[in-house]
Amino acid sequence: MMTKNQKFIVKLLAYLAGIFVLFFLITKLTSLILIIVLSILLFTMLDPSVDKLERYNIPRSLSTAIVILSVFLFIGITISGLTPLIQDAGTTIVEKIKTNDPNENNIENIILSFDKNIPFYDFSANMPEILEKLNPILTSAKSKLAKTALNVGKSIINLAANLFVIIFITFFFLKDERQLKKGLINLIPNKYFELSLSLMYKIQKQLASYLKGQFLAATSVGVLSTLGLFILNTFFDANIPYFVLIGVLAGLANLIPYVGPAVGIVFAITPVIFMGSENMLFIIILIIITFSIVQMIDNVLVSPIVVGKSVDMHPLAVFIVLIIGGSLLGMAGMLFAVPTAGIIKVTISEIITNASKYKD
Amino acid sequence: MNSPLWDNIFKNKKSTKALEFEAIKNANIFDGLKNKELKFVQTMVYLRKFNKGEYIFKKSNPGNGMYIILKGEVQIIDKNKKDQKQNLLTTLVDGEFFGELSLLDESPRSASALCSDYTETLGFFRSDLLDITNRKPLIGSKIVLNVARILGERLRVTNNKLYEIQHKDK
Repeated sequence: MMTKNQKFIVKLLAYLAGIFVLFFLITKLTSLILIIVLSILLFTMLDPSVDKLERYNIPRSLSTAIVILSVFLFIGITISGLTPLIQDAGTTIVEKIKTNDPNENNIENIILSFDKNIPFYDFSANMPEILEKLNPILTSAKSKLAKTALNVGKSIINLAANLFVIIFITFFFLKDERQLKKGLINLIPNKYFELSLSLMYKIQKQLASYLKGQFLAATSVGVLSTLGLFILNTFFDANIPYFVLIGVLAGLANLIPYVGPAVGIVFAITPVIFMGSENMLFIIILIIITFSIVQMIDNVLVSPIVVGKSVDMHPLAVFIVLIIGGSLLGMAGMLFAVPTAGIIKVTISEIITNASKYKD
Repeated sequence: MNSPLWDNIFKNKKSTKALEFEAIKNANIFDGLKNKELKFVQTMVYLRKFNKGEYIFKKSNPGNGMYIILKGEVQIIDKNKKDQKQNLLTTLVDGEFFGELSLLDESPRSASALCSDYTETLGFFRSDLLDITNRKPLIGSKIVLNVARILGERLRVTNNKLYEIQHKDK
């Protein structure tokens, strides 16, 4: 017979072994797990739309096809609209770093433009020193930029291939939702049948509202940022280039809590620095104020209404989740880390609240 | 493919589906639904098989929905708080159904359902009713109206019994 302590140690070892196996599987099957998780996320987001179409007596298969085609159309329009802007922005930045033409807005001129904006440091007097420090950084940046461009290209091709697989899986999730659910439920023993059914329903509802909230909040931040930058361009003559692209990126970055808003500001400030205009500091301050106002509107008005409280996470938990996501899958991992952690949190909290209501 | 094995497999499959359809058609909760609508409901129900002595649900568990008995026997029992003895409230057989009030809310079950024989049931749950209401509001409203009608009938019976008891005392 084992003592209490021995039992505890055996249990602990079993848990550790379980976590180890889970971690091993996650690292080995990362892309597969990611594809399935993303398909579930997409399914949860699109299911209400398919249900709505079904209300008008459109058969489920046709409703699914309409919704999936709309998704393809949306992605197609977004990619075809943004790709030239991203290419243009990338080329402009690279050219500005490379060029040595004194008439062009090269790196020296950009640094000189700081003089007009930052009064407490003489940039022109210290130019050789600055360039000496900056040159090795720029040279390595150029080679890194080329490598990054190649990696980004590869990632885009990978993403496009994966996106196709994700949409393909989502199509069948949506079309055969009922059969899949029944098949899954059939595997569950009678004892846990009602509990599982209730859990599945509640988790799906919570997730749908969470994802809808995230999507609406990101869209509102994107639209408000674009509008804010447009106002700066129109009324303050800020000349911020690619403001639509910056707005879209700021909206997307907003999916990453705490870090996202800062990333949005960086996206907006970078082209302004490369433009090297005379009132640069003033424009930067205006951009920071604009993004602060956007964040204030999002935090006070939009998010409390559209994002459910149920997935609220402690800032520390968010950071840990972001680090894990980032280390597993880089930028994409960070973007999807919080929604994935949201799914896990909703699932666990629903299991804890509901399981206690059921007797053996 | 005139093999008795295949014939038997397909015959059984067909008869189970037909049995399911008949059971749904005969349950008064689905009264007034057309055949096409009943077939849609059939895609939403779950076939569950229970062994003799197995509980379908236990008293005070959250109520999630109703069961229609396809074949077998189910005892509805309640445990006496004082002596912990099980009181048999009723025995239900093929074609009968129970737990329909749980379609409306998650109130705890008022009694337990125990299979006194091998039993096959069709489960229809609140989440499925909400799903139907969302996807096919017309079918959903017919089912909800039927639940309301059953509730109304029971309330009338209870009122009459209460009236009788009050007048007996006088």
